Amino acid sequence: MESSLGSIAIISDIHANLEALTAVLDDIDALGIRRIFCLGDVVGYGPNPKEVIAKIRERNIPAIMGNHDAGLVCRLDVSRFNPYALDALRRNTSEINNEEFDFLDQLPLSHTEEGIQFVHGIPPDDYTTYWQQTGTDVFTKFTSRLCFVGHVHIPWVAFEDEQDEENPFGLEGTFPDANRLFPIHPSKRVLIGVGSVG
Amino acid sequence: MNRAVPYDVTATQRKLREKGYPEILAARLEKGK
Repeated sequence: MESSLGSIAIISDIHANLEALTAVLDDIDALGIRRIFCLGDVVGYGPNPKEVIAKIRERNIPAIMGNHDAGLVCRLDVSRFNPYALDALRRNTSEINNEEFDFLDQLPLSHTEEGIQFVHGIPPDDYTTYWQQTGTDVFTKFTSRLCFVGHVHIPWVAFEDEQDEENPFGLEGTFPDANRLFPIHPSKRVLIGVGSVG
Repeated sequence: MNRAVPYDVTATQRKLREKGYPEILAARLEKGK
């Protein structure tokens, strides 16, 4: 993304997938982008929670908390997780040490920088709700012009002023061409789902 | 599958299976989500 912050890469939902994270970071490096932000769910599902946490810390990538991170550190009741997600989370938990646990435990619920909001689920700081569950009200939940979210695993863009009965979310769509450029008009408020790494 | 940055999916799947994770978690990687 080009902004007043310069070029930044926004990643999310790594889910303890070291191979995917390594490939994405290599791609970001090849593009010459030095600033990276992570929208949460560092762990869960995948087999390498330790290595992924280490890489996030080694690269000094700011991150916020996702629902799987919250579940692992016991900040979230995981009884509603599906059985295989719960199984993976328990296996992840058994692999990490206290320091890695503390790293996840201290992740903030949201982050705002230069008028851009970052959150895992929906703004202002919800890591469990999917934005589609909120309908058009989602734009009442944040004041910034731009908000980036993860959680859904599919990239998409929703424009506040392009909502109507046929397209209640103003949803631009999901993108088979993930390299497509999205010019964003300065007057538009936009909610952007970044997709998932792992 | 919609994956913008390809990676070695089979390596991740192999690790999941070696560590005894549920098979459905290896299968989900085929779908790119």
